[in-house]
Amino acid sequence: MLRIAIIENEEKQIDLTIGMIKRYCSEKEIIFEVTSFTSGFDFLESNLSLFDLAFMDIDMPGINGMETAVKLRKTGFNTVLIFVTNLPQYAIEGYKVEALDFILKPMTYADFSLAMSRVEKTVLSSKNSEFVLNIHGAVRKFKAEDVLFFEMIKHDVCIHLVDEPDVVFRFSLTKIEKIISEEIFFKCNSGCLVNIKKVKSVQGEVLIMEDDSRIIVSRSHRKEVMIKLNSVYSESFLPKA
Amino acid sequence: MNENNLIGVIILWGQYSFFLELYIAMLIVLFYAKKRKLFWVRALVGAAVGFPCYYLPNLSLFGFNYTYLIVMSIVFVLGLFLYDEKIFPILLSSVAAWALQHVSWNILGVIYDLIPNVGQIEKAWLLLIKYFVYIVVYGVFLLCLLKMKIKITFNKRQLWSFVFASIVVVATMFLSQSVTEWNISYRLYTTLVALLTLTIMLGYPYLSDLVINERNLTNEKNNLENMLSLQAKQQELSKETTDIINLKFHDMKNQLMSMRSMSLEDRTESAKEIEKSIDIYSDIAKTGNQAMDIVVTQKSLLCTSNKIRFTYIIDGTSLSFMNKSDITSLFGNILDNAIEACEKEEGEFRLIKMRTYLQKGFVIIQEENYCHSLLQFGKNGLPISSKKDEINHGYGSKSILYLVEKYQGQLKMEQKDDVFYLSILIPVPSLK
Repeated sequence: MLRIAIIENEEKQIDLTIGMIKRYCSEKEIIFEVTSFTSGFDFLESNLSLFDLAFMDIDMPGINGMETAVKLRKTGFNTVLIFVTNLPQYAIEGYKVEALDFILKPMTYADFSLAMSRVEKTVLSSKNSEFVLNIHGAVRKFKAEDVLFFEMIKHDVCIHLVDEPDVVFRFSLTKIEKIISEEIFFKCNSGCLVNIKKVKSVQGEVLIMEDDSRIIVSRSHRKEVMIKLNSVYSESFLPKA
Repeated sequence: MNENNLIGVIILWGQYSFFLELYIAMLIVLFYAKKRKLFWVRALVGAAVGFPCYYLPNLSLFGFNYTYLIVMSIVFVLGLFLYDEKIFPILLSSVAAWALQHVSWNILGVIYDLIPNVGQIEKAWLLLIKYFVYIVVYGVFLLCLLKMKIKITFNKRQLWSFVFASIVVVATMFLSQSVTEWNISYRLYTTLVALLTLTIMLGYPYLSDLVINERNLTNEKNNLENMLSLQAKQQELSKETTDIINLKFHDMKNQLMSMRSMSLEDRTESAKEIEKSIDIYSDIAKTGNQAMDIVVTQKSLLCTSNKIRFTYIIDGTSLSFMNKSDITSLFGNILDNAIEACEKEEGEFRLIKMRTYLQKGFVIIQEENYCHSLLQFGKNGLPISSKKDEINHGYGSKSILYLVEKYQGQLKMEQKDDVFYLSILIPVPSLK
């Protein structure tokens, strides 16, 4: 389900956008829901958590699209943002509000669907996967996105989590590999299984994780790590500062 | 025919003679090889080490006399001791040395056969003829070597000439043992075979050197032409750029002239209009990185004139760790490829979208454009150019890949549903 907001003061443009959304979503068999707002204020006052994607006009009376976007980001929602505008010089600065794209008016379907193809790649593929482990006799559920990396310490597996203390229990990495999603986890040496989305940087042959822990990746695996990172960023990641 | 007597006369020190002939032949073949320290001392030691060959009896097993093989092995080991080269070239050289010795020996045989009553000739003369023949054959060979500057090196392709030569050597050894009565035709035949072996072994590296040189020349030519065509393109571009700007100035001048006769109200309205038109078509990029601004401005002017809609969201500051010329070249090539692809598209499909932003410790560069013709991708992940122009064949993509790898990044190009996607991930180097 793709939940879309249109923020636009011209009725005609709203109709045009809705028409294109309908056409695109029926072609790609995507279920969608559209809500339109005629001003930035109305949009900001709505329940922002409801939207995956927003088409934002820049040139609007009252509060313009760029200001609206700044306020949207201040609320912390990472709705995918696409500007629809005849003022490209503002849109170019879109990276400041983590905009994915902008479409110039008059909007054409070719332009619209090219922008949507990237949206499709990002929004629809970022599903949350979960896995369940039996830890010291108690069943515990984990979200893949909360895991930084799994580490083998002697005969125990240590799960390094984002905002929680580490979990250590008797297990093996091979068994872990079987229950988690292959797409985002990567074995970068015999004792470490890394969540590729939590890699902050790569310095030579060292991966720097979001919690600043450093993990050595062998030369032969480095290339694979880079390929995975590139596809993670190009397919399932939203610009987020 | 008193062949055996004759051999008994001219061979002074048993198998040690054969050893020395082979040993000297090897020194000649390996003339250009890398010598070890104290080479001449080692060479003398080698000559001494071979001396026990004098006592080497004729060893045969299953009717095959392998005495020669033993001597050859000794020479091969000495080759390793004398020269700082890999095993294969030394092995190749010992086979070549054998062929050289064989040529001399058989030419000598032919000469003896041609001399009437050879048995009656004095030993001293026979020896003189022998050494004369050896010196001439070895000398001619050395001259060829010097003239063509042949150095036997390790080369996978040379393996075949080695295999061929070895087969010939073994075959000739068998042959020479089954022949009891040697005559001129036998000798000429084995001489020819040995010569052929030598030619193949030495001619191959010579020819392959020639081929490599020629290839280098062609490459150089290609690079040069690439550079030239790049320059030509740039000039074309700047001409186009000035044309566009001139046109725009011309329009603005007309607008301003017509404003003179307007009322104040109309004038403000008109001024707004002009301002807006400058804004809308403003192709002057301000991304926060000078090199980036130049490329993007140039390319977006080119896009405007080719009726391509080029939109971008670029955080130029994220590229500050990159060399200016690398930025120009990387983005110039990405956009050139995209523009070229767009030129094949029609009307509303002439679109290019590009994003560049910082994400954690990575610079993410993404670009997409429509491409309705199906692309083929090569082993290196780059699209195989459909252009017939071989010189510029995929040059842009290759240089993108080169630059991404220079910064230890990763490049992905793919085509899905008539859209070409380019994704690049480059780790930002830490400031240390």
